[in-house]
Amino acid sequence: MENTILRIEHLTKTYGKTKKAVDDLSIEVCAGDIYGFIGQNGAGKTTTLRSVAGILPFDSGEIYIVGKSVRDEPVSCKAMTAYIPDNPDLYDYLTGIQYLNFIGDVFGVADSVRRERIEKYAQMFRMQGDLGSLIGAYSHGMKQKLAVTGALLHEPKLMLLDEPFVGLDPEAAFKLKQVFREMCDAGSAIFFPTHVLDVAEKLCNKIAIIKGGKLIAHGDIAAVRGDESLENVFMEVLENREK
Amino acid sequence: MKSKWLLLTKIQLLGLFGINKVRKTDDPSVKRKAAGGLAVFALVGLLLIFYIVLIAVEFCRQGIGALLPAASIAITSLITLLFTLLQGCSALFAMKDYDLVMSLPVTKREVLASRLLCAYVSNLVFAAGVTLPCLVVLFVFEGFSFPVLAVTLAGMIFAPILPMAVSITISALLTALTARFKYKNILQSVLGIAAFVGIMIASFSVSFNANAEQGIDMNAMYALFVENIYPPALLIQMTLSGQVWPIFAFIGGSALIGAGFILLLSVCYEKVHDALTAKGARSAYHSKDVRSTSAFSALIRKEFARLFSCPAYLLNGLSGTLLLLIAGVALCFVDARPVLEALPSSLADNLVYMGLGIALFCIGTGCPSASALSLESSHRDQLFVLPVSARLILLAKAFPTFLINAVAGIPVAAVFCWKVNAPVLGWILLPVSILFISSFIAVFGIFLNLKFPKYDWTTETQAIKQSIPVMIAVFGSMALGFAVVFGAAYLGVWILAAVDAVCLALSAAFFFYFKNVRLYIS
Repeated sequence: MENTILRIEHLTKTYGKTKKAVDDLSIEVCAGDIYGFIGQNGAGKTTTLRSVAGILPFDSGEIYIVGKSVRDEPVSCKAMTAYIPDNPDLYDYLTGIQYLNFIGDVFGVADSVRRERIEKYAQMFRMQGDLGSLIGAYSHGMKQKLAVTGALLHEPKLMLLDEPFVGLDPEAAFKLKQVFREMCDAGSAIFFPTHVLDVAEKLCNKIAIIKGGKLIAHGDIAAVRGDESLENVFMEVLENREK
Repeated sequence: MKSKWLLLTKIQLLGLFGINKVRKTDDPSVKRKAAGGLAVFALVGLLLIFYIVLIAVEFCRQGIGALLPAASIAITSLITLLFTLLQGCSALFAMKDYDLVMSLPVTKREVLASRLLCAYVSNLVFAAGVTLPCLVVLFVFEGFSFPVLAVTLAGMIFAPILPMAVSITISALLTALTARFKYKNILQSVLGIAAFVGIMIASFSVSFNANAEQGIDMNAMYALFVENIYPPALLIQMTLSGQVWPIFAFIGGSALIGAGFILLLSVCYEKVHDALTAKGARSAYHSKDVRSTSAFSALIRKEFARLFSCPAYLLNGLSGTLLLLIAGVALCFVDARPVLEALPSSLADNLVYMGLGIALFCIGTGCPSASALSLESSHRDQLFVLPVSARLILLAKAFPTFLINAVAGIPVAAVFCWKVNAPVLGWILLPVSILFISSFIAVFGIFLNLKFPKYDWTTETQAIKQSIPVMIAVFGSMALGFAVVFGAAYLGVWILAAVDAVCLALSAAFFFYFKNVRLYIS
């Protein structure tokens, strides 16, 4: 499909000899989608995310980002992607601005554009006064804001975010949701695993539920949810699966 | 119930040698790598023992074998002093698990004792690797003696304590002095380098004096290490000469210093840790700070920032280069003519080419690229998701090693050529060879680190000093250095040509190999 940003086809990943973390998973994320990926601890969400980010090899299946294979063209895929892990352990020995410059250089963001975007997001997240400090001095929330700013610097087509709202203050979380919506309106897509069903329910237009590495429900949130709350659906789906 | 400090020590040792990982994993590749690592350690150990035996045999041939126990303890103590100084405070402080350990119901003394014991075990293994072969050689030449065995073993067991206490105290003082400065890491590194250079210059000056007055013999080596640099080892010698009290003074003194050191440090442990880990205050950025450069340049800048962020990394990374520079500066003040005249003409002609072996020995001693990847640890996912090829990342990681060694090595090569009256060919080939070996060691280091990464360190020292790639790079370069010195003595310029060709071919091979590498977090 033309507007497909991320296509995961029959992804399988095994740790060690037997532990299947992800089992024959297929998902499609289109331009404009905010796609929530829901599951219990150890369900395979982060493994999937890392495989999509190109930092974890997988056993079989294929992952395409805007039609390019993560396996065959990793650098092109990474250039269109931004990945923020659940606990962004940024380089403590760099200052915030050095980090952003580093990310800007590697993604080839021009000087003027970079300056404008840094200014915009630093203001939005109220961190102009801290960008000259070492990252080691930042709180968890500050690191998260810096990671998000770095991720937005090159306007990625696909954002991969692992629990993006953890550690953010309510204002920053609100503004980040706004940024996500603006990005999706402009044709990008967001794919994020979360445990917080409330966030998924309010923010996402599509969701997938994963258990034991297998996809057990997916699609438009309205279709998956029906008349019930997402929490109820999630519990029901898990229980039915166990039976 | 086991003592808590023993439990803490056990947990650290399990992580240090990766024993637990190998025991508990069902991943065959982890076991294969561990077996490879073990083989490397064994090889390095054998190499070290080989050289120690050669020196010990020479002691015995010169009829001074009885001095071996004291000399070996003095040498290991000096090396412990330097190595611990190179670690900075990271042997005891600023470990990743600090918060976890300090939140447990254990005393600071127990924490300190466990950390000191871990550092001690590493140093004791090294001390045993030097002292035991010396003892065996001594017994082969002069017959077994139980008193000699008992005194030497007692000395060996207690020997690392004093130099460790001295080095860690110097490092802690440097930390305390620099804690309030904005660029404290760089300041600590500079002061650490100054202390390292001071010790090296003292050793060199004593060495040159000893050579001038006593000739190059084993008595001079003994005088250098025992009488001039590490007098406590004299207590071992005095005991072996018939007095009983000196060994008790050595053991009692070491134990007292160790206990006193733990007591003293436990008072200021948290303060030193805070000083080490505290970061600068809030500061804004200026728009001039936003400027672009190429991806490769950005990666290289990041590597230099990493190098200067950690005093232990900088000190270890620069130790070989500093050694080379000190040798170069010392050469400027030495009259080489008597040595050149005393040497057979064939050897004097080849002296310039033997210089490459010395350079190789020094350059390999500090190889930051061999730990550059390991140091990424939990940051590595940030690096691996960047839209650049793995080759670019790896080359950027190798670049500081190449640049530092090339920039330091070429002027030293020029000084060496000047001092040994090198022919034109020597003036051209030696600097070129320095470039080639700097390039080879840089890419070889990162290749080794790629094959044997150590991401699960709790203190940077584990990656910088105790990891497999660093061991191979350091001891491999030493062995190659010696080989080139001996080879050049007989083959002259041909050995340079051979080394250049091999370095160039291997550098090119690694360059092409990196093209197909994929960097994954596991």
